Amino acid sequence: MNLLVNGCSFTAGSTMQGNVSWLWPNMAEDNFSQVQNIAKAGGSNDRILRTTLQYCNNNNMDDTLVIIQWTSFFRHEYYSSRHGWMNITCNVTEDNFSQLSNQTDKTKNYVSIEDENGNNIENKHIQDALNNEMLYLNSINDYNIRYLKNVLTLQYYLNKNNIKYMFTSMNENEHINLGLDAVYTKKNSVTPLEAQLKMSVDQTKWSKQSLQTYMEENYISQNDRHPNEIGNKLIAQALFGELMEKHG
Amino acid sequence: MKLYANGCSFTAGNGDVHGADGHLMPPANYTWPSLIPVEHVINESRVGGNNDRILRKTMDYFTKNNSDNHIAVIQWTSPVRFERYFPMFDCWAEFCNVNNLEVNNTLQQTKLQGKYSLHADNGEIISKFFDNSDMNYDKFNLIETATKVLMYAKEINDYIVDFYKTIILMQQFLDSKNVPYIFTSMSFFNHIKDTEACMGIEKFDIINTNYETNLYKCLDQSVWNNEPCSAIAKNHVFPDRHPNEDGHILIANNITSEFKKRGIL
Repeated sequence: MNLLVNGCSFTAGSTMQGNVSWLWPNMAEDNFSQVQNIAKAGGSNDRILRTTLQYCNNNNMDDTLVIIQWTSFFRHEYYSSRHGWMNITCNVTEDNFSQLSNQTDKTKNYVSIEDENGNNIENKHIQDALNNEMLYLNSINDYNIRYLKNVLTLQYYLNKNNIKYMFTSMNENEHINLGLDAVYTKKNSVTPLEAQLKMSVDQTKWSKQSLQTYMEENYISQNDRHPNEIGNKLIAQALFGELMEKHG
Repeated sequence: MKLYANGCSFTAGNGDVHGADGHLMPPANYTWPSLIPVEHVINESRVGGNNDRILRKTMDYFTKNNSDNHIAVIQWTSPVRFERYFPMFDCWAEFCNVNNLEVNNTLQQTKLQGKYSLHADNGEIISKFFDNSDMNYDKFNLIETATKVLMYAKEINDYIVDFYKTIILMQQFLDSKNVPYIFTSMSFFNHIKDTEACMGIEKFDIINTNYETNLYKCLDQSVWNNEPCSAIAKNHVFPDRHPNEDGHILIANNITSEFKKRGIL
């Protein structure tokens, strides 16, 4: 049995630590013939969907389990014929969520754009358009809808192709069974569309908790909240235990 | 049997986008859904409608209503149209592409004729807030932003990727509700059926990425009719290329025949 994992830095290793031996996917190597980790630090849910489809369509998935670790919905991708897939990060702190709910001062939020190799894209037209899109066109609800569309698209694909999988998330905000609505409770309300999309998600395919919950307080440092070795061990124990419960 | 239909002006009927009170015009009664031989028709299409709205309204309808004894026709429209939610006004703002951009009027008129037009479910929202906003949510800024994103930040590929995801979600949702359905579209630009008749005609002149190709494989070809509404109505159209009353009869005949072929009607 093989394992495919995809996600962000919580699965790939942060840009500082890299793909160290104690990363949770690497701890699965004794239990699987092969572990393929296509996660990327700073990656978006759009990237996770795109690269998972790409991998699955190019490989025989008959004997492969898939774990998808969804990430912050403030990241996304657009295609550029010049730059390839642009990784767009909306730098929004929790204090500034209100700004995305179309309230007052939005000047603290900004967008950073990188190409697939991690190089900053400095094109002023692109930056201006994407900053204004974040500031004026997109609400938290719109980001959440984009996220749920990705989850449902991948759910449809994996089910259709009889690929066994489990979904999990970086933190509770993106976890379908836990706090997907938590991000709203302070500032915003959920639209009927989001509630209906969420109802279409198969909750039985999700881990019980998010990675941040499994790792407890075992992060690298105050400035780097990624899981340390113990945190990764706790994540591995929890995820692989649940994976065995679901798929044997 | 009840027919649920959703789409844009090709299903709602064309004409003025807004009525005198600023509301978007409801579907006209000569349109093709009302010509399908069923007991009752629910037509939630609207002029200038977008695919996001079509998914949202359809999910809302079948969540609030028992889906038994229903069939559905979804008429997809241009992928570059979209909608966004505005929590401050609790409304969905709909962005529709417009054909003409004239720059020989005043600056204000020119800006208003930008490459998108802005609609909302409730016309009052537009006049109360977007027309008079002093918080950068005025029509100018929103239309300009949507246009800049189209021109500089996104490619047609991005709109198609999102279009395919929306179709996949609709397939998944209607299947889960056991509603028999047919997909059709406004024009060949939005018609995904992989038949000879559709290949190479009025398609976007772009190079597809692997992503679109992979998403395309998830689309259920069997639920699509063979041709979009623009091709079915052919020469029975108004000068603006919307189907006239004869065109609507042709579309209704085509959809009825598709349902009969599948043993649904």
